[in-house]
Amino acid sequence: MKILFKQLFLIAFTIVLFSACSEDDDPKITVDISDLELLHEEVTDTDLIVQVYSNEQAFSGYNQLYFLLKKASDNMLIENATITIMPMMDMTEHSHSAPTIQPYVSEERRGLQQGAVIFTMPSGDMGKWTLSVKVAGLENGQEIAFDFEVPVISKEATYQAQDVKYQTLFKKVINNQRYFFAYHLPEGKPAIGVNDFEVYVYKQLDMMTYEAVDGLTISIEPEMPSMGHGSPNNVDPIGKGNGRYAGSVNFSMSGDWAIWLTIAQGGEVVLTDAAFYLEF
Amino acid sequence: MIISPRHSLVPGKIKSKVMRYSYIILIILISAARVVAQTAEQEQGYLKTMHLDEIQIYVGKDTAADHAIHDQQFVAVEQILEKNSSINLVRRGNFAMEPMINGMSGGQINLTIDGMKLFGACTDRMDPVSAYVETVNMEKLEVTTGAEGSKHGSTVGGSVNLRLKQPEMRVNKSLKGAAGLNYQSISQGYNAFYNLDYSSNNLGLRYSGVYRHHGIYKDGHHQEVNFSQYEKMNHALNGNYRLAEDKKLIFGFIWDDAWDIGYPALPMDVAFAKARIYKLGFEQENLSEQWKKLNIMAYGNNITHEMDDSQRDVIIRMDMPGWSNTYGLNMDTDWKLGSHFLKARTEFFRNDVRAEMTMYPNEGVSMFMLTWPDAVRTAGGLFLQDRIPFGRWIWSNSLRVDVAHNEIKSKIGMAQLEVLDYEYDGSDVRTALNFSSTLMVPAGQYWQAEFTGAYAERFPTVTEQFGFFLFNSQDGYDYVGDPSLDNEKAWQFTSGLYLKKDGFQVNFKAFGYYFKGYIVGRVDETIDAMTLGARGVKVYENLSHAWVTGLNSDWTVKVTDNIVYNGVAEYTLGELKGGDKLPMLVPLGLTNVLMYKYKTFGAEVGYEFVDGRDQENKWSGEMPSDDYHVFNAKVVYQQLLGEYAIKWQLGIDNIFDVAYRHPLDWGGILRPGRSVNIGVSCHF
Repeated sequence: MKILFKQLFLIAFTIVLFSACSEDDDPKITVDISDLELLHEEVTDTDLIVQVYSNEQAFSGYNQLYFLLKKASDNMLIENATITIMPMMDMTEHSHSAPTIQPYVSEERRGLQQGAVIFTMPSGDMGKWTLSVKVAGLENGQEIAFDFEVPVISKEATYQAQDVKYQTLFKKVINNQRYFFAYHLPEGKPAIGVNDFEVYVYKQLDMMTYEAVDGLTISIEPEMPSMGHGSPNNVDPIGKGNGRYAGSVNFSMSGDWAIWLTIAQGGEVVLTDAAFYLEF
Repeated sequence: MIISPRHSLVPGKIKSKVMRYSYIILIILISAARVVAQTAEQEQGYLKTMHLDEIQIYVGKDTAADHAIHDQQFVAVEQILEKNSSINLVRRGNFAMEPMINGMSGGQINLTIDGMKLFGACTDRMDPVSAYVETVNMEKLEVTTGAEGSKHGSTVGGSVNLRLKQPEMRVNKSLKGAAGLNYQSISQGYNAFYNLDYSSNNLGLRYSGVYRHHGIYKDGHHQEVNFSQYEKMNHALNGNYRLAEDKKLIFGFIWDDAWDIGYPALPMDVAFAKARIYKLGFEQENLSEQWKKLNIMAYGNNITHEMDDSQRDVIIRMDMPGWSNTYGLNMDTDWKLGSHFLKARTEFFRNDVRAEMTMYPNEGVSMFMLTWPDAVRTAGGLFLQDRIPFGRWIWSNSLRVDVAHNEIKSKIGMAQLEVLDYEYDGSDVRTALNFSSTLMVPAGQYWQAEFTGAYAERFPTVTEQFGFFLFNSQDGYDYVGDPSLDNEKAWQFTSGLYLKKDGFQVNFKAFGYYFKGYIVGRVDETIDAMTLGARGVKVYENLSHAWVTGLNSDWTVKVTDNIVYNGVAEYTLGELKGGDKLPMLVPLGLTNVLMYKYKTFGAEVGYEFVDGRDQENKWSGEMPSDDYHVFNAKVVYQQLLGEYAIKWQLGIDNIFDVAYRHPLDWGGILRPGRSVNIGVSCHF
């Protein structure tokens, strides 16, 4: 009996030692992919794995994307490659791209690169979205490229959002140019309390080219559509360059929220009576 | 005994208000004074001559046919409390009315059970502590006004301690009991009670139970008052175990469940309210020549309260459950040092509260928030009282110091406070000081005067500090707390004049409180209300000053050996800074009871007058009310059958079917119309 205990103890001890070691040595452990959804994994024949993540299922609007590169053989992270992405909507008569922020090394999530795509419409019978990914700057000057389909949903589908005033993305033609307005919560998901809140504005130059729009004045007012009340102490987004406007929005309770927008350009209101809609 | 006239006055403190609902009191005409005085002596021991500033309402014996002809067990605790001239009830339904002392309520007063701290789990104050105990559990109700009530916690308004009945320990083993049932026509309601007392040399056990079931009642216009029903059950087990001549263990457990409680004055009802209350204590007497008594008690209570509107016609269904758990330790000691009589209490407690609101729209996602954000208060307090007799004068001083640590435990709670832009780091520590000094001066053979000066302080409540969009249906505003709120403070002056001569007794008390940092909600137009239909949002703040003053008086006249007349009068007046009237003040109220007793037959007629309120405080949602006159009557006959005493009781409340409401009643809801009550009980 005693010997058995001794053996058990030794086995347990060894397991503890080993698990401690492997955790310390494993480069995977330094990558923060908590709460992310895997959109795609590409395994190349050149010993490379590329993983693409998002905060949630891709939807028409601003989608933060995360890219993880590692060697298939030893799981070693590759952190300094150059990634270029290109979304494409293939429709029967024509194709178009979408506003894109090219990946860069993420400050919030260790070991990842982050970029973004504002999908300008959901996938459907009209066509489907693909994302082309190019990776350069690898060892030996190696480059790889692949593409994959991204199913993009429409999040407006539920009850209050059937009102066209509630959207996750607004498109509007201003001075003969097509503008896109999308929101983003940098903390990932909405929560009760103070939420960082960003608005991204782009205009379409041609089917493949989009340009960030700066110099707008944005004011916001949150409301719970089913209740008719708002929340206090919100901060209007202020232009930070590259089409990004940062402020904060307060959700005093969970449920359905609409963030009413008034956007002006050079003193002229270009978007009003419109609200970003979200539920949590 | 010269300066204890108020003992004998106590049983006469009756307001006929109470009788509207039933059967309190046919009081004790002949031997009441004697009986109460005796009980007091047992209670107070060596301090029996000095018990002036605490008013005690004895609930009366219920085990034998000793003296009591009335069965108060049919009546709720708060309705007996209301007999006290300084107590009024805030009424939102036909159940769980909230006691108020001299116009002060909620966090301004202490409501304790045997010195145990309990905090209601309802964010809308629909479950005052007194709703979780029953009259059959009670020995007596101890009422103290102002800072003098700080024995049970720092307070500006006073305290009500509900003293549980402990079983006796007699040398001869005995088993006693009682059971009773009564019917109330106005609500087709039943009240039933029973109790069983076992007594032996070293063990005493008392088990009691109550069941109440009331439908909706009709008011004086014969209109049904919807959502006025309720149902409840209470079981209590209390015991003493004698360890040695001077040492005993004391324990108690109360199980109280109420359900399907309607609140006609509110937009929501209560699906259930549950309390589990338990305690274990050790008591030792005469530890030394100086050290007279030691009492250590550990206690806990767990309260769950579920508000919902499933019975109401609403656009969006809503649930508002609340939880309150308290655990504490009290140590009481009594000393006699030279001519000083000292009492000291040390106490610690921890109270955790959480309340949620979830709304369910017909379509779409449900909505959720925390209305009490997992707030935890851990507090310690020290109370000291010193009474010094100077000849026939007595000078009494009391001091209390409290330290409390408040903390928000949940992330959501903290996030909600951020929404309101509060810079609160999640916890705060605060202290409160209460001091009171009383001089009791006998004047001549029959008169006695009493003067009190006090400084009082109390902590803000969880609602006042952390409440999140709590709807108040009286003024139609959502209320939001402020974590940085200061304590409410008050300077208090009270004087009393008491006369006792032969069969004539009068008590007269005048008080004036000057508040600093009076806590009140002020409209904040920058915040949107959350509740559908709410008028706006009020945030609690410390108002620089406010004052309240009032008179309480009661009197008893023994007209003949068989007839006693008793009366109670009260009046309060108060203003906030800026001249607004203080909300929830009682206009002139007058209660008269005429009692007749002959052998085992008793009869009683009550008359209550309350003046109307025309100068209501409009921003607090008060409504004007008319004055009213209400009459009640009852007869009781006690039949002795060997060991058994059977009491037959018949009463009519609101004889003239007056349609009326008290100025403190919420929502313009009228009180019950004429009700016939029939009851019978058996005691052995």
